[in-house]
Amino acid sequence: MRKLLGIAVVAASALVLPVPAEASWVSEHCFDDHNVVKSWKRADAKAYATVAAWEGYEYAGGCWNDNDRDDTPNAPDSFGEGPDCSGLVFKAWMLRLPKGQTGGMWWNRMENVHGSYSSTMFATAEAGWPFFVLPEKDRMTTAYMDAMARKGHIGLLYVNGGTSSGTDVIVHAKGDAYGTVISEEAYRFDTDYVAVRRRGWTADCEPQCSRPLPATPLLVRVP
Amino acid sequence: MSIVRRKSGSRRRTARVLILLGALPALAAIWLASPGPGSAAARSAGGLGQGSTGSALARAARPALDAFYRSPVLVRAGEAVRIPVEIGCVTPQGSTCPASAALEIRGDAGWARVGAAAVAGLEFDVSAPATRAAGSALEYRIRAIGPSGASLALPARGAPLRLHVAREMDTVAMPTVPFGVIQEGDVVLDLPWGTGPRRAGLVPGEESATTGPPAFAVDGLGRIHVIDAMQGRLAVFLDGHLVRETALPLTPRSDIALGPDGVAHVVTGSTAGQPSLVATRIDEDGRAVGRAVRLGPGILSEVRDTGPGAAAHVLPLDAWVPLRTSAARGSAALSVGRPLDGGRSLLKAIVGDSVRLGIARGGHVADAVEIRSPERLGELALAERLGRGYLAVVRVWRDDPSPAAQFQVLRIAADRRIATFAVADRSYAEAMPLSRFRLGDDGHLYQLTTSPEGMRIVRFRIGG
Repeated sequence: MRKLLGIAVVAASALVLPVPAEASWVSEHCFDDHNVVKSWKRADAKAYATVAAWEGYEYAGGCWNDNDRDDTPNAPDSFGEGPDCSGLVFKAWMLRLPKGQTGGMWWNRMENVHGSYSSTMFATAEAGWPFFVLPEKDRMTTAYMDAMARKGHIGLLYVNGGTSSGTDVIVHAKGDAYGTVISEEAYRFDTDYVAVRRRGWTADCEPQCSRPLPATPLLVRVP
Repeated sequence: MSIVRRKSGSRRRTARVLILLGALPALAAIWLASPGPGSAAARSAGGLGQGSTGSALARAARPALDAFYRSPVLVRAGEAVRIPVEIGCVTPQGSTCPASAALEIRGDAGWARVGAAAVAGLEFDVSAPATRAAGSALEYRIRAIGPSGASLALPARGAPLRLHVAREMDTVAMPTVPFGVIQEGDVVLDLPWGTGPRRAGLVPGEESATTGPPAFAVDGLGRIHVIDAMQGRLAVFLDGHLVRETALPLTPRSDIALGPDGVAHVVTGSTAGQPSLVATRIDEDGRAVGRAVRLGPGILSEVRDTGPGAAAHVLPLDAWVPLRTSAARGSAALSVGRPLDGGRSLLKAIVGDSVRLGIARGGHVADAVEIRSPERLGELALAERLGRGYLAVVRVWRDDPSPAAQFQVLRIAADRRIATFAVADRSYAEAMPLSRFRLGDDGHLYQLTTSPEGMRIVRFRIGG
């Protein structure tokens, strides 16, 4: 009887008193900090993604600093530093929780939030979601900070123009072996990829745009 | 917590246990409510990008600039020539900052500078100076200027960038190959995914890129040199057998070129763990030659042999940087064309839905040709001088009526006749975009293909 009672108490203690988890990079560094925004510009998204470049990669992750290195190398799936590919897009695009929510939210890069969307969800955007699949993915249609997405991966067009080789420059959380990088890619021409656009971009020139909006390209003639 | 056993006083004992059990939830509640490590109180929320980082970072006090542009490379005399320039300016707090862009052009009277606010869609129209430079090269530099004295130049030092203006450029129509009509080559190397000497390393992607060997090269003996980055080795195969392997600190953004002396030039970099490009030479016995050389930060595009050595094509410079080892010093001379032997360089570019190729020697361009495609063109996956003509591999693609893509191989003869065939785009795992095809030293075309089963090197005979 006493033995049984002792075992029961120990078992109950184990249930009620959780063993504290080991500290992770996320638990030791990240914190909540976000606020609603009413507008979002491609230039701001690019600046946000630029800071993320050369940081780490973490599956389902969403927290990174700005020291241009992977702070948790060779430690996958351990709540380490960095976003995954869809997490980077969620934060750079200033999307909101929960899934399907419109509007914008600025997220501190140090807040560990991945967002509600996987790369597959971005690539198969449902009606009414805050992003949509573009009908074409040629350079006349896309703009910087649009995404190239497929089942399993997504990256953001870093610049409008391509390279002399016809490739694109993409910023993406590419994987554990890479980290979050800016790299040359040919995703645009891969049949598995579609172009995806965030809804409701505010023009980069606002609130000081001339009217009508400046034509693009903006040509500067060299005599 | 202890349970005291006594032969007598069982009621008192039972009461103690019950009190303890009753206290457990309260103890648990206190435990859970206490702050764990790192769960600091929320920082004050700022506006867009103004929040505190909350960590001791080494970010510079000045804004960070970057500059990208599309190099025209090779243009026709008299045509409109534009250079798109895209400048990024980011404050230490992670916000955008205003910047300006400047294009410096060398003319007869020296350097002239034209500036503009760095806004999206900025393009410098250099048609007039390009027309004046017909038959030679137009030299230029790009500058980005930000607040607080931040500035950046492309190139950062040394020789300026160039675009070559051809007085004559043949125009030929690219023969079409219907989508799906592809040629199957001969499999010369077949490595299943896995770990081991006769395997190729793979990292399957889950919310990330699926990554396999990034590049390969083929020497004059038909040996295939594979950059097996996920297994940290350069592996050399002949007739499907492993000849030798060299352990190297590779990244999945690595490329290789083979010199005529049998030395392999390997360049790694462009990852979070290694943003600086590093060049290493490996001799025919698989041993490192000299010390690895840091080339500086950049985005590696491709590495190719140049005859006497090798060069790396680097972004955002969009130009070729000769590789130097620690044994050879001196400033690297930029080249917009891939350096070849004899002071020549191979000019190659995608311009809209055309491929442009030419040979530059100094400022003069010879053998310029434009191949116009009726289909949309993707990347120029390979361009090589072949005898007095060229070999090019370019991706063709469409969205309608259904998405389709394939690579078209173009053998352009000196008289501009084009022999062509198509090969499939088999890329289960990512490789370097411009390193999936190689013209082997044996004169055959090779392709790196991947599937869920493994990687293959496929050979295509392209004729004598």
